[in-house]
Amino acid sequence: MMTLFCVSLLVGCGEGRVPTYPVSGKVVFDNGSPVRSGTVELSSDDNKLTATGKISEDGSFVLGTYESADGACAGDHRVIVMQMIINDGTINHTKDHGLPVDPMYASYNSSPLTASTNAEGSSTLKLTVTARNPR
Amino acid sequence: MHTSQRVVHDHRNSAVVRAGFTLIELLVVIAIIGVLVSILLPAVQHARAAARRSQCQNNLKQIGLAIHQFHDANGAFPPARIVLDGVRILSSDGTTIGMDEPSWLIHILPHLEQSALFSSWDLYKPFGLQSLKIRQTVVQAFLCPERHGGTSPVAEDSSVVITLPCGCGGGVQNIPGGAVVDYVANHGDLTPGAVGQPTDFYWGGRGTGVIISSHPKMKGFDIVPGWEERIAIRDIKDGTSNTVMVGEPFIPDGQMTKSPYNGPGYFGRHFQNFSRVGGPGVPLAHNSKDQRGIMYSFGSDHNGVVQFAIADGSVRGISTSISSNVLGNLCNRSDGIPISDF
Repeated sequence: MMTLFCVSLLVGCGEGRVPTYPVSGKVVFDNGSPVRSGTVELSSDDNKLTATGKISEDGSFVLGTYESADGACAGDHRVIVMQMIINDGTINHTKDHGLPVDPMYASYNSSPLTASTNAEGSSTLKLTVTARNPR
Repeated sequence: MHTSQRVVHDHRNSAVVRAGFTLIELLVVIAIIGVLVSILLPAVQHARAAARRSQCQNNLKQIGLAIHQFHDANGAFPPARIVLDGVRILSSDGTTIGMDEPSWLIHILPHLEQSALFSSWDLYKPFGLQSLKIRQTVVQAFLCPERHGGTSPVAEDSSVVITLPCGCGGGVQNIPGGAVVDYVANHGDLTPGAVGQPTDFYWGGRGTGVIISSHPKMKGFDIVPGWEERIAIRDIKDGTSNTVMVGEPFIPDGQMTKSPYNGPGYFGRHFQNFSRVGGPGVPLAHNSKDQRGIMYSFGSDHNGVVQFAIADGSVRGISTSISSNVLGNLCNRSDGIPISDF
């Protein structure tokens, strides 16, 4: 019983976590209009961590690593912006998705975006992407 | 008079001795018991959660073995579902086909000692046209005790508004009811396929996982037994020990046993009820409150881990703080990056 008690004290102490700092921001197209849906993710090669956040309709996002919105670890990151719009003919798409983000931003192998985040206080990112088939 | 007073005094003295406890002593004892219970209760809760987690591991082990037996019998892993590209069509008898056929969970039933139930299913007929009784038959091995312990969860016939990850929805969907499941196929990561989009995985043959959506075999306008893209162990080029096969789905608070997150698991139309993806952009959800989770994410109600059956048949709990890059390497069967320490 005493062992169980000790285990229960140890679990949930967040052991070995890299410190994270609040990160929020906005994704816009190069013409200034916001990206209306999708996901932003930062990947820190140094810490082998990724911080993810959903994009709101106004293009804003808040990142989370170990929690929903605890931010990202400090340093340099590679960045992806991914949109997942699936039309399988069973559910009507009722919203205006705005311009579609070029799919090259969806993969770390092809996305040119980078960002660096502060070690103290919060960071605000502004990401600019191009639309697919800009004509 | 004097004598009688002494008698009364003696009487009170002896009463005190018989009662044994004062009120204060009683309260102190209760307080001590209360403190002990409050110390031990979390430990007991942890032990119970651990027991549920190992029961869940056992289910995954059974499912993993059943999939391997299926592979031995058929030379390929089961298809996550059968799907035509982009549209459903009318078959020669006027049935809408090409997406609604039963999911992979029905394919493996004979290898989970469910031959009787399996024989009542038609693998190549739409879910809505199968009998209500078999649609609602719960298979206990498909349920995680942390989520549906001791219940027989059946999603009712429902008309729901499904909101997609892009925020769309609004149109009402009529969804035939059926049993739900807590284990979902690894459909792969979001590596762009045929059209170069991160959504390519959704369609037949393009998933990069182990149990993926596949095109049906067609004869004219009718579906015949079999499926086109037959993923086998030889296709897992990263190695079966470095690729996940079956995991647990992310279900947000209040969405248990409801479409779209946890609807009928045997119904091929709704991808997320029986398969999920993982990788950059789609990390493991930490818990049911994780705002980063979408309806295609893996996740669990176990504390800090999501449990997976690995393609080699073993079962592992993977920490929810795993980098989405590594998760993608584990989900993609042949990206050339085998991950062994996870």
